[in-house]
Amino acid sequence: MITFKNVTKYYPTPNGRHYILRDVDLVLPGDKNIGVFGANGSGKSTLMRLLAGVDHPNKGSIKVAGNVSWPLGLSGYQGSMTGRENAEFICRIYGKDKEEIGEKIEYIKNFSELNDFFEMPLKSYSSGMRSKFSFAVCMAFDFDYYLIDELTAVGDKRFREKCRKTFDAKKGIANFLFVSHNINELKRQCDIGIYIKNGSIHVHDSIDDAIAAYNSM
Amino acid sequence: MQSRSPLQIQYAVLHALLIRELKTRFGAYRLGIAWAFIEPILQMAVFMGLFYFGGRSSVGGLEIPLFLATGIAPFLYFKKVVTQSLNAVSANRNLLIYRQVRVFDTFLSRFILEFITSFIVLSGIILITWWVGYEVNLVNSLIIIYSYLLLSIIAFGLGLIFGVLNTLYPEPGKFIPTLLRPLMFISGTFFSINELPSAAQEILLWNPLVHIFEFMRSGFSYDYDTSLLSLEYVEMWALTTLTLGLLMLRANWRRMLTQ
Repeated sequence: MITFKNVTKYYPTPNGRHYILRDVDLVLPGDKNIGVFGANGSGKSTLMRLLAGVDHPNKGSIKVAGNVSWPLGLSGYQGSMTGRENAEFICRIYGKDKEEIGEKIEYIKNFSELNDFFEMPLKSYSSGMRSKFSFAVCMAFDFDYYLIDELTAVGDKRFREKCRKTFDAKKGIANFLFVSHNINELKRQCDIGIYIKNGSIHVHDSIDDAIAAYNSM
Repeated sequence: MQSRSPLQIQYAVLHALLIRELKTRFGAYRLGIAWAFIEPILQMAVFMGLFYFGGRSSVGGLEIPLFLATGIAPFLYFKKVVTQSLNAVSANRNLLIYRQVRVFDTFLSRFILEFITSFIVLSGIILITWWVGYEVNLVNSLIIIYSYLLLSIIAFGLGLIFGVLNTLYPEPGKFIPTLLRPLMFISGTFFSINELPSAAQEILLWNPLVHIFEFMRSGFSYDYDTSLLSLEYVEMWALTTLTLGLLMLRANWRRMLTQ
């Protein structure tokens, strides 16, 4: 369950405050997969960062029951570190011991299908490789909520198929929040849809309603 | 996923960041520790040459290499902590997307790495000096350790202050390294405050680094003149810089995340 209590979030700009959220009170169910819509710049990624606890509301509070992943996207890895070093870093901050790190690294290496590129700095990866890496790392950990920001759009077809299978396998035990511009993808994966507009979050209890509302916007 | 205590998380994050910093600081082959020795030794060599031509073999009861080591090595440590802190956040920006990793951790991990490195370098250089055949008397090791700790606190505190400023205002922040450069010449790294004219003494004694290096030297000598120095003054500097640094971070860390 995700609870927003009187949440306000803005960014300062030269022309005054730009509001993303304004006094939002909201409860999102904890057993649904949620698709997040919104125009570019409407604050989808900010919402993900807020949920992940790495950005903070200017007013109010957000509570998430359960473990939340970091906001999974194409950015957010240390470009100078290799795939292995990045993966090890994440294992370490999640408190894994040597043996567990070995297992996770093995899993990530196999799942990401990066082969030799696993030992190369992340800045040398293409966006497709980044998405594979990012996805593999996150799936190596068990979260209650996975925050996925435009991640599955870039991989090749076979990898997307693999992602879909992994999602399905995780669905009973974990929930997903998807940000995507791919309506079909959201339709397949999500139960309910939300979109951000004019500082508030609109919730639709079925993904089809959300898509219809989004399209008529 | 198992739940962990804040202390366990803090330990895990520092451990992960230290390993990451170790790789970038010393390179993939860990040969970089040699570089940490080379810089102070080269600077010492230059000033040893000057003292040699000046016909001096000791200052205040310390032989020249030891006298220089106790000024130059700690000064480079101080400078390194401050300059490393300037970019602590920007260099780790992408690792701040994990909620466990806090802005403070990026400063703390860089500081710990420099603290350990410079301690190895300083003790190493003093050991080499002794091994080569110069006289090294460890008279008062407590004052050496204490002044080293005070130096560390001031360096960390100033690192926080400048680090916050540099992250929030990168343009004026570019001047900070320039401001640090002449500091070496007014900090008593290669001279003793006791040998200066009293007019110069009065001005330079405002600099806490002068006090720190001189106290450090007094620990290696039976009769080092510390009458001009004040531990309380250095302690006040340590308390003020650390408090101000922590307060500035506390007030600004959220802004620093999205800067």
